[in-house]
Amino acid sequence: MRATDRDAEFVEFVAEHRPVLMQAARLLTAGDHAQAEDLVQTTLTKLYVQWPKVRRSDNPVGYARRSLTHVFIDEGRRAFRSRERVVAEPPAPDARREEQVADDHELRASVLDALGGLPPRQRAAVVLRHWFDLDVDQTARILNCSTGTVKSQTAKALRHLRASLEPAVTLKEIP
Amino acid sequence: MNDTDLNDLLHTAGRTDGTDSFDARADLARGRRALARIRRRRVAGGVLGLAVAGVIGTTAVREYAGDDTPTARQEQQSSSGVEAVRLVSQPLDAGSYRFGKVPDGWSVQGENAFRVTIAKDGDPDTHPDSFIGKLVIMLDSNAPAGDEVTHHNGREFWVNSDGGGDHTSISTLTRDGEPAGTILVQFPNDAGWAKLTMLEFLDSVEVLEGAQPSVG
Repeated sequence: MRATDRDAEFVEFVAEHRPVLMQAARLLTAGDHAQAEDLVQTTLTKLYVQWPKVRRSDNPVGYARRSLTHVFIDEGRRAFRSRERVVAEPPAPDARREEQVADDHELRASVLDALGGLPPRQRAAVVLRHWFDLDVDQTARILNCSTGTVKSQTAKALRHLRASLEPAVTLKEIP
Repeated sequence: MNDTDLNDLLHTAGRTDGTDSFDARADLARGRRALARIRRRRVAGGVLGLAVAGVIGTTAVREYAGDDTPTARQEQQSSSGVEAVRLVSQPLDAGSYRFGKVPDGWSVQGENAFRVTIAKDGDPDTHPDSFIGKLVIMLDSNAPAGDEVTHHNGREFWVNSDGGGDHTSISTLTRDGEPAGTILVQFPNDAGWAKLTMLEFLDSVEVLEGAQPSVG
C-alpha cells in the first residue's frame, strides 16, 4: 500500500475513534489524564506501524481496543501503583455526599476513585465487559485468560465497586 | 439515589468536559517516526545479519546433524545464554493439531479445539490458559500478517516480532486438505527459539478437523 493511502486512512481513523479510545483510557487509568493520553498515543503509534495488519483485520476498532488494553496491562505490569487523588476539600459527610453525587463531576470522581482501587486486570475486565459491552469470550481473548478468570475477576471488581460507591450509589444487580 | 447501571456510571466517568482537543497530524507524525526507526533498525540488522550468517549457518548445520560435542553445545547457546531449542521427530496429537516435530524438553500443558499450550518442562506456571513464556498454537480467523514475510520449505510465513517484547508470532496459511485458515504459533522470546527452528516447528504442524479459529 502507498504511504499516502496509509496516512490518509490512519488520520481518518484517528479523527473518528480517538475520542472513544481516550474515554476508555480515562477509565483504565482511573482518571489520570496524562497517563490516559500516553496510553492512547502509544496505542495509535502501534496501530500506524501495523496499519496493513489493522486494515486487514476487518475490525480496526476492535484491533485498537485490544491494543489499548494490552498497552495498559503492559504499563501496569511495569508500574502498578495506587494513586491518592488530591482533592480541594475534605470529603463531605455522607448526608451531604448523597446530594453532591447528583452532580456529574462528583459522580465521575467517585467512580474513578473506585476504579482506581482495582488492580489493572480487574479494571480492564470491567471496562471491556461493561463499557465496551464485550461478552466474556471476547474479553478473555483480549486478556489472554480463561472465561472463568474473566468471570471471577469481574465479580471481584464489582464487589469492590459496590463497596466503594455505596451508600451514595447503589449498583443494579448484574445478571 | 436510585439503583444505577454500571454501564451508565462508566459512561459518565469516562466522559470528557469537551476539553480533549487533539490533532490527528501529531499522532500521524509519531507513527511515522516510529515506523522510520523500525525500518532503520531492520536495515542495520540486515547488514549485521549478513556478517554473522556464517556463524548462524554453522550452528544450524550442527544442530540438525545432531552434533553433541562440547563445541557444538556451546555454539547452541543463544546470545541470551539460554540453550537453543532442539526439535525431535516424535509425532504427537494434541487438541485438534498433529505435530510432526516437538521441542525437546517441552510438554503439552493445555489442549482443546481452540489452542494448544506447550511449556518448557519444569515451568512453574502450569495454568493452561496462561501463555507467557509458552508456545501457543492456534487457528486464526484473520489473514496471516507480520512485519516480515519469509519462506521455508516452499511455504510463506509471516513473522510478527512486536509481541510487547515477550513473544514472536509466526503465521502461515493452512495446507490443502486442512481446515482453511491461518495457523499461528506464539513463541516466547529469550527461550532459545532460533527463527529457523520456529519455522521448522510451525511447518510440521497439521491442523485437524475440529480445530476452531480464535477471532481477534
